[in-house]
Amino acid sequence: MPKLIPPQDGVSVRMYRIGHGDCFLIAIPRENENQPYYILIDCGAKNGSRKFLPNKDIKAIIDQLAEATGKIIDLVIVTHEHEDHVNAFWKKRSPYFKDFTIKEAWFAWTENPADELANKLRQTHKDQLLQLVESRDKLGMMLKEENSTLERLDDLLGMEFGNTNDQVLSVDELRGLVEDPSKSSNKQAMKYVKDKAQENKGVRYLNPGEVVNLDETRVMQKTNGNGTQQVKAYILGPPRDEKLLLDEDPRANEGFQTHKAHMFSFNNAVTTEDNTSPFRREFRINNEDAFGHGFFKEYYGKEDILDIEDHDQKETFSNAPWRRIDEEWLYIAESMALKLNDGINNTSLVVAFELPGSKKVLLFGGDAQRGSWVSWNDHSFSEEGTSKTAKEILGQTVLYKACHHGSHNATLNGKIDDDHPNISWLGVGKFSNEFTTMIPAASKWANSKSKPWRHPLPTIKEALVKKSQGRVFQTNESNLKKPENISDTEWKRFIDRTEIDDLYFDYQIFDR
Amino acid sequence: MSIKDSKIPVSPPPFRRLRVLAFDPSLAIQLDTAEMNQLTLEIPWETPLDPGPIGEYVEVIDYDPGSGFFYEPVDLEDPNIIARDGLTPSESNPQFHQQMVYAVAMSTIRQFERALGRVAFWADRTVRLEDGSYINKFVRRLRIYPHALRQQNAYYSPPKKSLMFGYFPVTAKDAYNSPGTLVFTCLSHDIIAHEVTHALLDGVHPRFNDSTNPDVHAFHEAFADIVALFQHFSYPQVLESQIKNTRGNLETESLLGQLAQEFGRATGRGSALRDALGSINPESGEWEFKKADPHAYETIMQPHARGSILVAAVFRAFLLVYSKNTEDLFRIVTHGTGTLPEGDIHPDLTKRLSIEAAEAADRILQMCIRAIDYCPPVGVTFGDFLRGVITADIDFAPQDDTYRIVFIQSFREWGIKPRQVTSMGMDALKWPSAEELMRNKVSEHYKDQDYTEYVYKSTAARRRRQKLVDNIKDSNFLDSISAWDLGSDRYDVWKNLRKLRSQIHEWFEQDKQRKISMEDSELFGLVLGYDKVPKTVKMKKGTPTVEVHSARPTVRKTFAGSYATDIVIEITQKRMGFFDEKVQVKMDEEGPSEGTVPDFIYRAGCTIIIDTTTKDIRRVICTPGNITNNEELDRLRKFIQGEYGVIGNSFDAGYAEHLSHMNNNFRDEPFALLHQQ
Repeated sequence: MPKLIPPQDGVSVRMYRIGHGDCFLIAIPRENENQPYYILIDCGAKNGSRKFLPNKDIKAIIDQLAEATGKIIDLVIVTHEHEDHVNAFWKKRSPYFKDFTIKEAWFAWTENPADELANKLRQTHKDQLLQLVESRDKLGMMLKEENSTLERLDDLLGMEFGNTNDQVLSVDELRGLVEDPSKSSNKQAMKYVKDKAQENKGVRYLNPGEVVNLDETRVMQKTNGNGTQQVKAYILGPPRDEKLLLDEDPRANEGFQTHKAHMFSFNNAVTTEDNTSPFRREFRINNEDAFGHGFFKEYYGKEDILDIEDHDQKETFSNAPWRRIDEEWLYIAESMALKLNDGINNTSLVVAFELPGSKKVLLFGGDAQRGSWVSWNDHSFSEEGTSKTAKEILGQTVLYKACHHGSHNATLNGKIDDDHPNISWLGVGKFSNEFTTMIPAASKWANSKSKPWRHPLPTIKEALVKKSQGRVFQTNESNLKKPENISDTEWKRFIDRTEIDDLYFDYQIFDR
Repeated sequence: MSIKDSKIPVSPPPFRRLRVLAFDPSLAIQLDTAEMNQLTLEIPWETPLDPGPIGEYVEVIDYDPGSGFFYEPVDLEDPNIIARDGLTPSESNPQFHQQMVYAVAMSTIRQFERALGRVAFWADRTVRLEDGSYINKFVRRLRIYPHALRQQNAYYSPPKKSLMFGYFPVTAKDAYNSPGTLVFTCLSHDIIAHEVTHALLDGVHPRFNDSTNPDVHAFHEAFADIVALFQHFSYPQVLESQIKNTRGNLETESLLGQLAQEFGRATGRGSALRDALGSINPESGEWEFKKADPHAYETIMQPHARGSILVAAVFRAFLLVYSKNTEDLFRIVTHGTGTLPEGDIHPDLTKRLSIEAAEAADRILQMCIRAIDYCPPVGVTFGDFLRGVITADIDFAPQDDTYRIVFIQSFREWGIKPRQVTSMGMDALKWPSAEELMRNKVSEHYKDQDYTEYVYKSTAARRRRQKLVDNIKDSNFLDSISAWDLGSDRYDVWKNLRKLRSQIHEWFEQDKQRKISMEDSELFGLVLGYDKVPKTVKMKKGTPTVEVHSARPTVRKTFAGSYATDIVIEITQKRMGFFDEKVQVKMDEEGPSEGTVPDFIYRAGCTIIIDTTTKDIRRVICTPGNITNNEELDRLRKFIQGEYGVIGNSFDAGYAEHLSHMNNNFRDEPFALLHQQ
């Protein structure tokens, strides 16, 4: 199999069918036609998520990537620290990218060890993780059976730390990882990319508002003379705003403060041993004593008496087990885990690549959600006296990588006149004729979970299919579906630029 | 005989006086509200009232799993406590917390019983037996856990038939918050009333927990808010203090329209959790009265925000009545100028205005509560609720239509219109009687046939329909209804109603054998008989099954002044729904195979209200389509798929909720999540 070679006057985008996760290779021409400029955006997928895909082997994807690039990648972009974006870079024995050369790597400012706000966020994140791990532990001990909340928690914790095998991390492992995050698979994978890049041009941490010229790229301009020009990258996110990243008012969040009332917080109850009651000793009855106490024995109960529900005894027992609440308070952990996940998703590096001649834009936003989206228009992008708004850039989009697998809140709904960026801002005017979407989602797998993941969300998918006039790639769909209202010629023009393989989808975009 | 024992027996007092906070602890430490905030409620005297307190309706069990402690239950029968009208309000005494949740819960329950004319029930515990059948068990008491959670939340748990209250440390720092203090949600009058109302509504309409359109959960929230809000007006000292502060103008900021001040501020909102009257304008920082927005109903989908539209519409109805009923008082005081002099209003005026406000609020609240008997059994909408309010009020107070007019006016201003009516006139909104329906509802089954055939068949259908109605009148199940009233033992009533439910069910099953066909049952939005129906409809022996969800009596005072008992019957049918329309068509035709799990369940049916004396079918309230209706099925499918706006997280986005009804592995707590938002 040959390398991925883009047209002289355009770019090729290869969407790897890696599973439920992201792995995109962009090939852009440069002087040396045999070695185009390669950009790899993320490389990872949830464990087990290739179950329903034609290719189930991660190694096959990596081998293909090696062939396609000649094992030299000019730029690796790691959007954010989640398992399904990073776990195919590294593994303990013989890392996947062992034989690759990485020339340069980009990360969001949130990964910058020298950034004060980033460090503050990391500390909060660590505290929240500890709280989650401990809640999961307590809940796990109380629940005797398999439970969809536990599965969800394990999934989300797995996302934060990463995992190289299919086994769920034990609580002790998790504790160790909270204590020393550098040991987590995600961090190791990111470090691996960074180390490789350091051997060459190094690592860049990008802030929203920055514009980067990809100096080595040379896209042929056939329409206006035969010269070549460079591709530009606009950085739209993540926002430098704690409130937006967490997508909530931090004041409303239970802080990790030191005052006395904190002793009675959820966090204290799950993470420390010296947990106590907000009420004076005289009112308290210990758990052990309560059941000698006639009242709680009669009205709360302890024994696992089976609530025999036959027709004779119609009134429920006063101490029926189904009314007890021993673990009820811990279920909040699931919401916390979801919030934490959203927070990290919002740290995704959002990059818009602009082709020099046609000004067509390829938008890659990782898993950015609402908090990130609403911030994109806070910047204008000035360069050499010219200035561009995010709205203009988004309007030029011809390829949209659906954020967060097409989930709720990761592609905002709205109108062109709205104050915040939304789907209607993308691909406006002449750019709308070519607007195409890539949805990295193994939806059959996602839907098979005991608590299904709606990836993509049916309404978002529908909106994207409509906007793209059927030009939608989705990881688990091997056939492109022509909508009825699209002419054959028009559809053919699209199909001619695509290639479908068990391992990937190829798509060419011309700069004209 | 000791001198202590008296020969003359003394009957127990009608009420137990218990001290509570009218709002929450934050108002107790502000000079201007401290006095008004301490309230003594009169709770119906319960004997026995065990420590806990554990009475007939509620049981307070103070277990704090986050701390790992149980707390000593308060004994309200202690003579010292009785003599001092209950314990003194205190944040640091858990026994006062127990007393307060008990007292506020009981006074909320009383509002319900008074409006509905029957004893209140909690939702049954439904148990699935090994053979796949279900049985219902009587739940005598709602359980209340005042310190169940360590989080910024409180909710009603339908599976546990319990209220969970949380507590949390304050981290926000502003004029009203001191970081380092604790907020107990069980000390907020409004939060308690709100949660108890959720439980009471669940007791009447267990299917309202299923979100089948954007209004259902919003309605649950709004209704709970309405009850909590209007309860403020039943406390004279609160009302008078607020009338004094606002100089009788209730369109200005006051505590009356607000819910959960302390909680709202402690969670960083800077104001009460909700305000039915207005809000702080973020630009000017000034409080502004909320004007009716006719477009809000079309655009706002998040349940709380959407619910606040309904709350605002109801509150607006109240304000319209209040200003109309107090016009004369203001004319007298201002000598016709309408302009009050500067400064405080006269205490006599305060008193008179308070009386008017209390009366109007009480009537509005009663109207709202009564309306819940006049709602379809599933998928309630705000429009249905309006129709329920209007119809119930016509039945309960036929002579005075002022309140009905203001309701229609205010709902119209807020853009709330029932889907199936073409006019907002009272006649169009009123739910029809069976007689009216027979006269006016043309059978759907012959509309495609030629005219003679159509006339012939529909006339025949009409005759058969008449027979069906007559059959219901002749049926013996109505005879078994005895005179229930508020004094009845709830378990006996429950057993009776259970029997009644199965009699009604039996009657419908027998009716099928009488070969009553589709066009007859069409009158009630039901599908019975052997006609061709989609095979996804739940059937038994070749005919669609009916579920009698509920049969309950309600007592109303007639125009002539006597009391009449109506019986409210809710009947539903169900059908399997599939997301993929092609699968749906296939399943409809071929029938699902053994063990097929549907993507969702579509339910349709009706609520029928029968006068037990005359046996007239006084009201028939159908869901928009019956069980064979594919448009309604599709509407539900689209709603679940997120067509009308999605709420929820980035993984299951409100979808897992629908699956929870098919899989026991799920934790089915709709309000736990709702209240976190």
